[in-house]
Amino acid sequence: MIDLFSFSLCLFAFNGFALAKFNHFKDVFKKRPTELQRTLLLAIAWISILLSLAICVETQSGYGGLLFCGFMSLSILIITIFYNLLTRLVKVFSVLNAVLITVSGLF
Amino acid sequence: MFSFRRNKGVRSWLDAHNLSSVLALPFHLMITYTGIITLIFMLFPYPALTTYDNGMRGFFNDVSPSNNVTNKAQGSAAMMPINTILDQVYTKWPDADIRSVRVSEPNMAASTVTVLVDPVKALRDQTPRLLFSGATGELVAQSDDELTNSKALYESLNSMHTGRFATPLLRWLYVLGGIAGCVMIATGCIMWAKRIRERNKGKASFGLQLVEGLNLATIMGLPLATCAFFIANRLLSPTLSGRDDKEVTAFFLAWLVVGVIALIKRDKLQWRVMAAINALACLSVPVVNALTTNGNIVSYLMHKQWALFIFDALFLLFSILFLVQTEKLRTATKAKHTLSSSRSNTNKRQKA
Repeated sequence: MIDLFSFSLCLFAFNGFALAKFNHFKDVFKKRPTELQRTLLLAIAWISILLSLAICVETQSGYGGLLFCGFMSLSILIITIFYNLLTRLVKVFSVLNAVLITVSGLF
Repeated sequence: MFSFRRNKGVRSWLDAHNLSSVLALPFHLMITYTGIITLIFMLFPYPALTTYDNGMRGFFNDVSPSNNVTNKAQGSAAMMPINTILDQVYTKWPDADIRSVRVSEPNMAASTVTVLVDPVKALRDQTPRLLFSGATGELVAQSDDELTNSKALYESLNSMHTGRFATPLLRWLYVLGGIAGCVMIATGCIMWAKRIRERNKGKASFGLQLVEGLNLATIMGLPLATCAFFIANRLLSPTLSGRDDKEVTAFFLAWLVVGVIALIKRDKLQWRVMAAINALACLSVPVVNALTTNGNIVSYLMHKQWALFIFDALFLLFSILFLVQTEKLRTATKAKHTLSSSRSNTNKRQKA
């Protein structure tokens, strides 16, 4: 479960990084993000990704570091697929991601 | 970083190249550096050659657990009960998860029992092990519990490269990184050739023709060569001498044939033909396996032999992907012909 929690945090982070870009935000929300929105998204993304790294390393040491790198790769692949092929599902995906973080974090 | 523009010609190839590069960048850095470390004794053997009288062999004998007790034992002897050995294992490592037990020269005085224990996600390549005399049950050798700094560094970097310590999750992430690396190389090669061809307005120099031929030979030839290797493994007689060399020969022969064809002709039709041949070859691997052995993809699934099942399943998946490639190349060629014929019709009408 801890692996799922770390991965979902990593995925959430890259979702934030993607939304912080003008073109991707506009594709999803049909308008450009404000500077405040961008800053907020980046801040949340950085906190999320650092938290994911910390959890991986704290629970599984060197193995966790390696796993984190793998989680980053898989997250980028998933985000790329959603933002280029399934743009209309990004909002649903984001909500599901948040739910996954909550569920995996609780258990 | 996340953009991928489809059906935009060279820009699509560039996006695919950028994405696949960035996607597994940490993996690429790690696998490259640890690959050098794995081969360090081959690349830089001089410290061992100067320190040990018998060179590298002396060095490896020094760092690996060695057996000096039972080697000289002669004659036959009854084996000790395995519980005697297991008691010693669990006394040393109470939570040991025994991976395997190897017995050599059973019922002989020189017999040994090696117990290998799962390192449990530790970054170690050499599995922790205890070596016992099979006749007396005495512990004769063991791997180091506490590694020196240099040994720990080598072990951890080596283990990261081989990935033998990894659980299935991390192994699949390694596969993702590996495939991303292949996509990075392939898209880079194709994009470069397309750009040069566009810049030269369709005229190809000898260098460009060579690069296009090598692209086809490598990108389509290597998968076919891999299939040839595994098919040869199944079709060659088990008693054939030099069997392993012949499997390797099959690999390079298939690659050579594709290479020669690619250097003669390298247009889109050739890519389509190669894709179709690859689809057939990938399909053949699990089929030949099913016909020549007692197992097949269904029996592997039923008996939960996951490694064998996934192997066959992946080859079937690649067969489907090559079929998709064949179809895409066919429709792309058809679209190009339709576009060029409509353009020539428009020109004719304008002239008229």
